[in-house]
Amino acid sequence: MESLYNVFKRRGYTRRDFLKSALLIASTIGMGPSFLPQVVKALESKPKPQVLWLSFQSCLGCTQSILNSTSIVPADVLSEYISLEYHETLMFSHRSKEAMDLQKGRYVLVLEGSLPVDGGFYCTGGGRSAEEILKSLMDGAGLILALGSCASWGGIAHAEPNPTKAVAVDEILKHKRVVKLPGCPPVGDVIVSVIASFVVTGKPPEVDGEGRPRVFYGQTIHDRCYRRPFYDAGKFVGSFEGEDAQRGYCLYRMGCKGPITRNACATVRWNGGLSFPIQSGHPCFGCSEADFWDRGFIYRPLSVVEEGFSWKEALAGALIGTALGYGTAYINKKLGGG
Amino acid sequence: MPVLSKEEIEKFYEFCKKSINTEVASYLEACVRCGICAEACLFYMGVNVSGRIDPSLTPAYKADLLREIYKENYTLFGKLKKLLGFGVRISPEDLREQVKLVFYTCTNCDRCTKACPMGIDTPKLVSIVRGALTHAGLTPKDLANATNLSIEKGSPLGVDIPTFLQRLEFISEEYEVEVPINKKPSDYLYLPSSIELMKFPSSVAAAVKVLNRTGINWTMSTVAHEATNFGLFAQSKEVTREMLRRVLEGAKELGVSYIITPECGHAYQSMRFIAPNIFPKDWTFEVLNIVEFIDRMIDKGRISIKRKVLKERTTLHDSCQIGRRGGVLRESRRILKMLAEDFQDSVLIPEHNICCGGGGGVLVIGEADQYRQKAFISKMTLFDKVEAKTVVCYCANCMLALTKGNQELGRDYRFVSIVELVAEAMEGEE
Amino acid sequence: MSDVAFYDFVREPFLKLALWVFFLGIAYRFFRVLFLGIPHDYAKPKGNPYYMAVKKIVIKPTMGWTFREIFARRAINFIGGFMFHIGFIGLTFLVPAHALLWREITGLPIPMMPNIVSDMLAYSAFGSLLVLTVHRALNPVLKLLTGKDEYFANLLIGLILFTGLLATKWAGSGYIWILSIHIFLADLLIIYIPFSRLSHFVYYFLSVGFMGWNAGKRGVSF
Ligand code: SF4
Ligand code: SF4
Ligand code: SF4
Ligand code: SF4
Repeated sequence: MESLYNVFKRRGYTRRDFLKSALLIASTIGMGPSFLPQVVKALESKPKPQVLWLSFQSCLGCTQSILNSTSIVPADVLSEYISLEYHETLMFSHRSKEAMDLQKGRYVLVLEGSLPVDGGFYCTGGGRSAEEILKSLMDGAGLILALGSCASWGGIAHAEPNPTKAVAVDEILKHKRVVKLPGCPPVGDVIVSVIASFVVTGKPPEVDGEGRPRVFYGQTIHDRCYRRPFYDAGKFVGSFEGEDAQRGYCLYRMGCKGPITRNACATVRWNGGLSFPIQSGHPCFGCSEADFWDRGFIYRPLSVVEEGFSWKEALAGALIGTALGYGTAYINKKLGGG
Repeated sequence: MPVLSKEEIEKFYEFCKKSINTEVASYLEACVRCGICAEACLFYMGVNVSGRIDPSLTPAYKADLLREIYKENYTLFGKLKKLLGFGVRISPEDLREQVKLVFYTCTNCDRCTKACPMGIDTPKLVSIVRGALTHAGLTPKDLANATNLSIEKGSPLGVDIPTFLQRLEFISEEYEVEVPINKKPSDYLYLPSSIELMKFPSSVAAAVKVLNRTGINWTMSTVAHEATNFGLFAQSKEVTREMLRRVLEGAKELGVSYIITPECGHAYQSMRFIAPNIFPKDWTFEVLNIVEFIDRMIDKGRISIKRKVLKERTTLHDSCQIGRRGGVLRESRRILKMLAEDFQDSVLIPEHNICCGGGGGVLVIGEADQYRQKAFISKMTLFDKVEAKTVVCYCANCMLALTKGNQELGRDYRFVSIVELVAEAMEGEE
Repeated sequence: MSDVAFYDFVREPFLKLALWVFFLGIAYRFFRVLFLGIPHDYAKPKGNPYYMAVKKIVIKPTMGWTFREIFARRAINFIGGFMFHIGFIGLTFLVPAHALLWREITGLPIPMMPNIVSDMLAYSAFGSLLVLTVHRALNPVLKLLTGKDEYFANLLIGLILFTGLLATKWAGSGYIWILSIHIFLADLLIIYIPFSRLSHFVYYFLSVGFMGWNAGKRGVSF
């Protein structure tokens, strides 16, 4: 099997290009420059990963996302390197068995989308339900990736009213180690470097309590946001038009969910490190956290009471209180005899 | 102290319960337990100065039993607690402590109110507890005797009408003044207090001189002959009412439109602020304190002060009921500045002055003596602050209390009445 | 339960509940007292009671400073109390996240303060709260007057200030947990206020108002 270096060479890239990619991989997975020789050696010698890609209830955004990853390895190299031995949507289902036999114990199982568990026909392929397909493949995997918020938390299919009783994949894979890469979709470069790091180290990456790689999900967007100084200075954008928006003030008031969202957007960014939503002037809406669809209020500040607690509710409460207070005072006056 | 029965405790409880209104309830609810009021109270300070701290003298603590009673009758949680059997249990000892707290160690001086960050009127709460104790028959013996005497004979010192006339006769002879009695018609009615009449006749004489000099049409009355009102001390509504009724009767009979109260704190308090509420229809008089009156007369040029009669360093003692609680604070200072060469106010703001320690009936209660003496120590600090030995007063009760404290502690302050000084200074012109 | 789930719980249903309890409870406590009624006063006032009542409500907190001796003996109370109240009120209303909530509730354009100011306020409020609590535990008068209520309230407020500071400064990867705990405790406080002496801020208007009214009635300056 070809190594990454071989693919580079075959595609006509120089060693310099390869080293650049190796350095990027090393740094995105959080290994310092001193580990570079080790990483380079691994990428020169180790065969390319075999990836089995299963799509359940998803929008294919995650697939799209990995195909758009260009900053770590050039697109053409990537499409050859990450060899999709099996992709539910792209290939015939009968090949899955074959692929599994071939790569037992070593392949990367990428899961995209949530699983329906209400017993319906959704996601049935080759007569087998999604759950059956998943269960048949899980034991041979060296790394199981729950890709995107749907696979990680249930995502949009799991949102109210959840018609298919969708669940996150780790609900089915109870005793398996699942590495979650939530996001809607997750950053493509993150997917690539997690897979590359598996090639280099042979182990899943270090994860937090929820199964997310610490390197990418250890901090909130807010922690790494370049607009943070404006947040600290109390300068906020009040509408998408106007001067404050142009000055690039903090978007908290516009509903930014950055403070409670762990993702790599603010550091890795999107489209080859070009930008990310906040940089383009739109608040983060928290796509990588569980049940963000159900939170619902995209454009209202994080600290308000979601379904509204306005002066009307306050007044209603106060009026009820007043009535009760009047009643009590009246009774007390009668009893106390004043 | 008599043996207490259940019934008495019940009476106490009921009285407290009945006395709650918006004002009282908000005071009871608002206390934030900061204890700042302690530092304002002369009893706490006095005991404190002498080295032993008695936290139970904190004003806020004086209302705590009342607060408990309020809570269990007026709040949801209190009621619930009572229902579950955790209600207030009042033992005879508790009531005895209350007697100490409200009768011995509070003069209703109102200083704590001014210092309290929440503006809590502790004297008002103390008055309620006093009323409740009186209702339960627990008024201190000495105070009860004086109160009864004032109902029977018309004065707490037992000055009945013959004695009253006799004293006036003595005064007019001794000081060579003419005293109009029951003169009809008159505009002004002047009431002396029996303390002055018996103990400081010279100030009555001085007041008479001043009144004569102004040339107004005034008189004294044999019906309304006592200005003090011990009903206020004991917080007995009946006695207060009865004492005021006599004044009303006398004043009506003479057809006056002004009442001049003497150098007596509670007299002014009762006639100026309480009587209109007891007789909302009949009480049509304008009530003036003698100090207020003198200030007015000087203003109108009816009397004039010709010379400074006090050469030495002088300071002023304010009567709480006339001053802080009566609003006659600037007048006395204006007059005193004309009277004294070296007048030094002992406080930054007149409302800050410290009480004599004998107001609110504390003076007549023998058991309270030790506390009153300690309170005098706090008072003394103010005199010493300005290094004054001569202290001008405008309340006979204050004078008596201060003089007593002075003797008991062996100090050498001199206390003089402001009206006497005015009378003396007027003479200067001849 | 994940931190974000907890966060969503304390931020939405629990905060909503707390606010209902708060507004209802506070109004109840205020009017329960107000409607008890007060006898009409027939004595002619010597000053202007209404004016004085309003004036006292506005300036009463500064009057303690005129009592020099009391101030000297209780500097801890006065200075600590001032610092605490300014810090607490400032933080409650003007920290951006809080201000946005209050804007939502009141509809007023409440200003928002920068972090550096809120940090200073938080340090001073937290420090003074600590000092005041120790003072409460040691001073004999305060010992007599203090109940469990005060200590519990101080603990709760102290924790809220502490977690708030922690969240803005040193939380690291525990940020969401600490923020959620901060909000959770604040919710508890909001619920606790109507049940405790912390509701003194509504009675302030009544009792200081009455005090000013009496001062106006008697014609004294305070
Ligand atoms: S834009 Fe969002 S993530 Fe960035 S500082 Fe503001 S609130 Fe935080
Ligand atoms: S900025 Fe927020 S909402 Fe947008 S992609 Fe990143 S995590 Fe998702
Ligand atoms: S009214 Fe005067 S004597 Fe009574 S508690 Fe207050 S400060 Fe002390
Ligand atoms: S100063 Fe006022 S609030 Fe403080 S303890 Fe005394 S009465 Fe209560």
